[in-house]
Amino acid sequence: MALVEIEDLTFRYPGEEKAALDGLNLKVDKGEFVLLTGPTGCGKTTLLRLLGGLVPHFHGGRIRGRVTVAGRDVLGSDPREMAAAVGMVFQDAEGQLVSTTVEREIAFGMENAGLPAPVINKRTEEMLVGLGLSRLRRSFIPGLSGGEKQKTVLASVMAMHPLVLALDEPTSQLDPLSAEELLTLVRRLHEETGTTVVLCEHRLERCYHYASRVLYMERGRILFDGGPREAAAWCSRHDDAFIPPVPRVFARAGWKELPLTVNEGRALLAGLPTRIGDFFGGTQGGSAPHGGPGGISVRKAWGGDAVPGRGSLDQRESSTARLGWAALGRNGGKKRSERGVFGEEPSRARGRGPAATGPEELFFARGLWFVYPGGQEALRGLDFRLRAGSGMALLGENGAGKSTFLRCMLGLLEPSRGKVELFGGEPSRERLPTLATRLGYCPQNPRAYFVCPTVREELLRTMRLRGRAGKEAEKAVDEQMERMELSHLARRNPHDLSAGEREKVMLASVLLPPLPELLVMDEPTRGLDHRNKSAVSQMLGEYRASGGTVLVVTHDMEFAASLAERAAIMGNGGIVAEGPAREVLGDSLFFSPQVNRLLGGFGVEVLREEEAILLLRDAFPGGEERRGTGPCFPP
Amino acid sequence: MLPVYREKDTLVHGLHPLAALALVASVAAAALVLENPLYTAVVCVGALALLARAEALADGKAILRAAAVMGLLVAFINPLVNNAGEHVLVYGPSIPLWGKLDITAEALLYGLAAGARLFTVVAAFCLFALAVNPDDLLELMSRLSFRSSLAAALAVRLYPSMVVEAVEMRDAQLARGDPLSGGGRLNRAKAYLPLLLSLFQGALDRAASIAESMSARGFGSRGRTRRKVGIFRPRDILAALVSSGIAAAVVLQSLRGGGYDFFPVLADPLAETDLPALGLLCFSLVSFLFVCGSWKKWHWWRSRI
Repeated sequence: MALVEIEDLTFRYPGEEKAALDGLNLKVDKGEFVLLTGPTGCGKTTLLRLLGGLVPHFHGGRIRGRVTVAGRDVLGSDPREMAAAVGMVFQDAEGQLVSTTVEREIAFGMENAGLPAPVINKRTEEMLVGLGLSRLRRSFIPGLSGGEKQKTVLASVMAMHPLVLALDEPTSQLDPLSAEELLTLVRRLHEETGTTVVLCEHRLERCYHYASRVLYMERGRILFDGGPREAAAWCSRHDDAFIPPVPRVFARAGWKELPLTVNEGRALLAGLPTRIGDFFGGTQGGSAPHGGPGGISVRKAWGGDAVPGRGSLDQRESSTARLGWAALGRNGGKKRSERGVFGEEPSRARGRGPAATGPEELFFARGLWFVYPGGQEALRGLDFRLRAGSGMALLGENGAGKSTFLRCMLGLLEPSRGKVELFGGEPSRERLPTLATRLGYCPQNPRAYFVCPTVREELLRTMRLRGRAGKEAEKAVDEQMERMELSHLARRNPHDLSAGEREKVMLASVLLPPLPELLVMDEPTRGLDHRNKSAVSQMLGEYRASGGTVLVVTHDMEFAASLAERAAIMGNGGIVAEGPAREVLGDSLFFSPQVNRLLGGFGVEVLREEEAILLLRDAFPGGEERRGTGPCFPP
Repeated sequence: MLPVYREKDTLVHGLHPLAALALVASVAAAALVLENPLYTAVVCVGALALLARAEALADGKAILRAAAVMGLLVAFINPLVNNAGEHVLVYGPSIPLWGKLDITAEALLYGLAAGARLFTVVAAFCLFALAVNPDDLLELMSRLSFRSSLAAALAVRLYPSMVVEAVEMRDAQLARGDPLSGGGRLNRAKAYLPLLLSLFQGALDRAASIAESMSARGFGSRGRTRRKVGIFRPRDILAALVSSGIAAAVVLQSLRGGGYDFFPVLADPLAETDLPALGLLCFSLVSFLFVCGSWKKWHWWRSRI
């Protein structure tokens, strides 16, 4: 008998006519690792809630069908009874933690389950050691990082020894390293304890290959159920937003065989002859500098820095062709020293827009220090410059000082030492509101942005704050919502929207007329799936094409590569690397997108998926027999 | 900003919650019960020294400053509403229905003493909030009422998150062009109202998430058990002895008459003092402060208690 059995299940939330789960059938055996994928609102979270009995007991609603977990009828059992069988980890750690210290939190579930004190003490210790939380035993929970908080939740759930571990996008609020660490822990728990895992996750590149089964859901139904390789092949035909970047670029290039990981991809390419050298008009021979596959020594960079192309492959090809396929040196033919620390490539010609008439340098910081009252030196002599019309990605781990820097830049924090200028003046809390027509700021937490009861009112508020009101403002708002396909959300409360919708509404708001000269965004892709990320990236691409300047703080290398032509890495309170994105990201092991790691060994600095697709399509003649004429099909 | 507990390497932070509670309660009781300015001064200095030993002075600075302002206000207002006392410092006008507005030395000193006692009670509260682990304390209290203690623990945990969210919200609105200031208090209140509503909505959403998570972890099941709370160590016995010493001093002084006569003329504070009680109070506080200091410095002593 399967551990989880769902038969012909239909569920509607209270007041909803549309079924969140529609005639669902599913069996999960003990020890399986099941990955749930699908677009926002497809029913993944509802399915996970169902396993724990939270649907329908906690959320209410109408339900029909049968669900059993470990032989227990979920619909006839209280979630409290299901807690021992199903452990649940949700998206936001902040909304799950109950106690003030880590060890208390771990004990919470076991105390509820009525376990004897010696057992609670033993398992608490076990979880503290097993999940690497010992040093945080008595730490005050609000002071922990996001990753540590989510690990605490996981420890609290695992301490109850559940048969099924259900995780609902547990890494969506985490930086990449914390996310990697958490997913590795989940994998270890699965392998070492045999716990059945049902995971819903949008960082597919981190977990797709772990899964023993991948389910694809849409409109409350499971459309595909199979192994990860078959799922990748199926999804590449159906909707390739829900497969990892590596199989996606292979699929888009028309390959039949889809590797799931960078290593698999490199191994696949290693066996093939390549004409990358001819492609760039360079030479071949020698060994790959990164120890990559193929005996190629050519280290070529893609020239130019245009905004990535969108739309069809042909359009993308033409836009990439504009970038210039001709072989260039790694630094575009110049050494870094010749370009200066802040050496900027010549600005692209821009037809119109605020940057064309604005100051050349929108922001600079020289010798910037910031010391918190406790003595912590968050910024240590930082130098930074942002020129009009540029797209800059600011990278760095949590605690590197990125947020402090942004706050100093906007005038929300007063620097301890050094000089800062924004739009030709010293930034300050008092001056910031006066810059609203020139500066758009998207905070990391979109909740902080929204203060109105509906999306439309929120946009009208922006117009009012920019000195526009009446019919003109209403017209601009309606046009903006229509242009950004948000009209259907006009009457919705921004707080009730999905993460992707919230980000789009925030962008729609800051990009209302008059278009700001500078857009500052703090982790805009946190919690977004590939489709929503692409939508945000496209909006920003259009903004940049109109002459706007973007400074984006992000952990997302794919997003940084797609958006910015320059990148800076922060560390130890300063800028440790700054330059063209191709140079900074292309020369990194961890601060680089997956496609760069896939093709980096061939001597080309590929940063964007569009570029990788073109290479895979045209530069590997030996792969023709593994390639179809269009999108590939399951073997 | 309200004081928030932080784990620190001090003896006060390392006390059993019951011992810590007894210590704080004895200091607060001494401040509330003993009216003699001599005692008030000793207890006030003792409370501040305890805060310093608990490395909590900096964290509690804001609330102590507010308490000092409140204390001074009491000292300032009392002579205006109370003209008892024989030593008139300022002869004021006669106000209809109010009477003479004379300011006397007795009323002024009474106000100062009352303000200092208020300040000391707040300092004791600060020590409680900053150096006593709320989790341990609530776990202790949960034996009486688990749900109330859980609600209190949640409030303690979520308060810092709400503060962070409020700051993020203010910053985002400033960047949107809303100055959130100027134009008088009413306009400022109007400007902040949408932020408060949004913050409230966020808090409600978070409460719903926490309820769901608690439900998923079996909250509300019958037969809830508790893990063992802290260990009672020699340091806790020392703290209990100190608390008992302070309490005994309060009882001894109370038995002697307890109060202190500010009116009609100030009594001699020393004459109205039970010297053994004052000695016990001073000895208890000083010895505990010494224990705190030596615990931090001497490994041998630290390992013994």
